[in-house]
Amino acid sequence: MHMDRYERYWLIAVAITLAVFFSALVAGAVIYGVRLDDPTQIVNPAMVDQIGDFATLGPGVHVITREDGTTYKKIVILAQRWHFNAGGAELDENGKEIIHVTQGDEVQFVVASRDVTHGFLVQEHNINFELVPGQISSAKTIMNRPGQYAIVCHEYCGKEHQGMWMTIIVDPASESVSQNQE
Amino acid sequence: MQAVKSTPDAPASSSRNWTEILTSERVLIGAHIFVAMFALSLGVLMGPFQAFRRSPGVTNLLGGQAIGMPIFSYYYQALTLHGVLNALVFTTFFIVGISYFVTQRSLERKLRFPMLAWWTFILMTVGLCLAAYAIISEQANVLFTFYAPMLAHWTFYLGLVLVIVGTWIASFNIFATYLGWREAEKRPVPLGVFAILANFVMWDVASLGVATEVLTMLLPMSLGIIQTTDVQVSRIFFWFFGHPLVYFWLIPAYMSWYTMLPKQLGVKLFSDGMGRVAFLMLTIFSIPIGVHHLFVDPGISVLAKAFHSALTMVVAVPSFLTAFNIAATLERSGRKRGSKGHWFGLDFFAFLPWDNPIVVSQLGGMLLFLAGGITGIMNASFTLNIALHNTTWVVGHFHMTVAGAVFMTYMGILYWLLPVLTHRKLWKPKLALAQAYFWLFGMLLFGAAMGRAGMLGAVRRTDLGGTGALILPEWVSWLNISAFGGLLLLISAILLYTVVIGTIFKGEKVTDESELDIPISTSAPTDEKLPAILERWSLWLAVIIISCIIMWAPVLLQALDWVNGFWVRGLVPGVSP
Repeated sequence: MHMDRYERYWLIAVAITLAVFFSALVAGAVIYGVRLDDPTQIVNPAMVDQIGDFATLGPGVHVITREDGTTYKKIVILAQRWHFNAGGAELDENGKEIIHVTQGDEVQFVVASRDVTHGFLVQEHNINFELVPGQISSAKTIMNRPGQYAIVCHEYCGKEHQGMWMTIIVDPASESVSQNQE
Repeated sequence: MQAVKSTPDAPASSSRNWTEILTSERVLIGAHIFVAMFALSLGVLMGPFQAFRRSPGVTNLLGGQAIGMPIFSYYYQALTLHGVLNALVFTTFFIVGISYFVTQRSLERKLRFPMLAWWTFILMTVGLCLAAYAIISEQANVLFTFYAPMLAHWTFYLGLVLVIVGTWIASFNIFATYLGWREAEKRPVPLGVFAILANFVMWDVASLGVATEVLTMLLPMSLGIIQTTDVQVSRIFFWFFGHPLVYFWLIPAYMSWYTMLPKQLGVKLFSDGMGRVAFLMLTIFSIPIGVHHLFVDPGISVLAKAFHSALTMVVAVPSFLTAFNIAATLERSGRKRGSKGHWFGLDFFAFLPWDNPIVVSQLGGMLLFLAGGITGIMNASFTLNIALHNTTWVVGHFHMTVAGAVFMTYMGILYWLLPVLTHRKLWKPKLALAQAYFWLFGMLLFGAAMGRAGMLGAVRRTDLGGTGALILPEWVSWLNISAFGGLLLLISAILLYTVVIGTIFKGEKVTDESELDIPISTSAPTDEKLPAILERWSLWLAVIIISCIIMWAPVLLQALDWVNGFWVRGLVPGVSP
């Protein structure tokens, strides 16, 4: 079959472009540590509060000390129509939960749904989950920029879906680091 | 431009004469297009009002009260209607109708089973009525992806199954017609029919996924036969189907660009053979990449996500091939119209007939597809996907593909097909031209604004005008611009139906088909060598099935819950929305 000379050049250019795009993806994963979620275990969503971190730590912000003495914060959240349960330590005027971390904290989110599929998006932090009931979602990030960030349910979960959100506040590092931990 | 021969020229094997074919064709294809446009009229009306309701600017204009939906009060019901009627019903009826038309005209043969085509149509229409009943009676507020475990009324699922079974029978009818033709003619099939065959081969394999999901999980659960399901597995079955679904819409639009646009421009397609290669690549590579819709799902391994991400890059290749082939064809047309090759040879673009609604609809679709295609590659890159997944960015992306390239091209088809079906000339082509431009600019604004809002974290499928909704200040201006885009699109939709209704009742009557331009080829080009392997469909089907097994079986096996009930049952009970 005949292929025009310019069409062949074009195909080569396309192949190079797409190869560059894919290399960028690989670089993102290898060099910058971008990680997608990997399966852990299948759980019963109705009883997820009796399993793993949800049972031992419970919803909320927890300081975890590693064997080498360094610490990170594990944020455990349960999603249920139409509410994120992060321990209930602090609520805003709309009755939505507020949690605090400190600038520079290494943070791990561990989140699961108790009923239907929910979404979980931490604004400006590339934390994005589908909370599929029966599964547990988890990802790490470093929260470097002080400020207030919304955490929003991004998967339609029923008639009050639009009201399902909460807030995470990154306090500046200069302030007392202890006051907002549980 | 040439019209298809309207004199009796049917092959000897056909016992009926050509005139009779034309009469029955008008009724059959007309019925499909009528149902498609009827469904679209309701579905398209819902769209702009959702954009208005999400816009704080519009809410302020109305004194602080967010605008309601037309006819229906409830945002998520309107959103379900918008998705199901536009993306599932309008597209499917339009595609089946145009596929019958092109098959019959290109092969100069009646469908192999004409009565079966009518029963198929009735089956699909019954399906539509069942699904519409469930949605309109507020028993199916599940959106057009109907993710488990939220349950709709059983009529919703049964209706969708009937529509899909209808497409299977329609494809059988088209395959049978083609095989009869091939037996008699022994020459390469015209490119338009090649595209239709490629489309239905892909569709028949892909729709097995959603059929499995609905028949083994959602329908039994909505009937109370089973109580629980496995949500992750249901999402895997859905997205086995979900990505080829968008190519099922796109391939007929490509068919129009490859086979009809050249005739409308009075030039020859640059390369017929490379067009066939592009269609085959779309058919083969559109199914084994669907995990790119599931990048942030917890139940799928990183390895599977990486492989599907890589293959997604490959499915961009046929679209790049198309870009080259069509651009080269447009250049031929531009040169013929006086382009001298200035501006690095790109000035041909200015010499195209920008006053012809049929051509402008297709060119507008291509322009939108440039944006839609590039944003698609961004979505498929998992590093960007975790920032953009389920934000309004995604809505911006697929409105520039399905509501851009696909919809605009279908309207370009409608503007010559409607005169053929009604035997009336297009009423007020200037209005049709305005419709195309309003849609192009409206969709550019809407798509860009939704994209920007999504980059700032605005979430999709969320009633931002409803109680308790969160609107961040940085979203406001983009939401307002998307509402303005919605207004332009609403004007365009009104113009569209004005032209359609005007043509049906007021169009100038045509007595002979030779007065109309019907851009259908009855033969493949004779000056290009087309290898026989291109039409070895059993081979391509085998390639599709093997690649699907390689790419999807590990995903499914790893997600299956062997302890709690394979996939039919699971741990998650169904709930109403």
